[in-house]
Amino acid sequence: MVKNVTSFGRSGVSEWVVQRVSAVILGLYFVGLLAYMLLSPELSYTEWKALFSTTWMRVASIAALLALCAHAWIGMWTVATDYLTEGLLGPKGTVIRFLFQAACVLLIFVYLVWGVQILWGL
Amino acid sequence: MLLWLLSSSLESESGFADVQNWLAAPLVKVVVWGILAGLLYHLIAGVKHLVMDMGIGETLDGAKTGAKLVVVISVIAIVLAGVWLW
Repeated sequence: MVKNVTSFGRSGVSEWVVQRVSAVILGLYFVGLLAYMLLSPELSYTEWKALFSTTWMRVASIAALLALCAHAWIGMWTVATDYLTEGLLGPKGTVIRFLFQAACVLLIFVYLVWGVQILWGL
Repeated sequence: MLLWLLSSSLESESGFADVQNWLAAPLVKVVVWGILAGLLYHLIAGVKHLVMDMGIGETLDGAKTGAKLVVVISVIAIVLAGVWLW
């Protein structure tokens, strides 16, 4: 069994809720963006930039970015604690899991900073 | 890669034109299609999860039907995404 040190702690119900709320945010955002792109095949730079400059789109994009980070963290934690365990990998399991999760956190952090730069650097 | 495309496309007029040119290259199209395929399958399977959370299709038969539906809808969505890109 994997102990709880690398999760957000507590019972897991909060993660369960965060995972589903972030899923709905991401689903709506990407389906919306996809629909916009499908409905404007002759998209110009001016229209594209104007879309991402509106306050509501910035708010939605930041919400989607934060949701993505939380969703990826919980998802990778779930996968790692299910499959990268001492039971499956032997005595090095915990070390491998720790390194894997550290790499995930680093990548998520890079995406977060990069995403904020793109959205607010306009 | 999607972030990179978004970044360039918003950066400047020429960045936007660059992205349009990249997306015209066959290899880039294949890679973007691959990313979209993963995203679409994840999205559709995720929606199935939420539906099952609401207590729909929670029997063994229901789960089998749901899994088949997810695969069928995903294949259709991925093919459509391919048609859209080319």
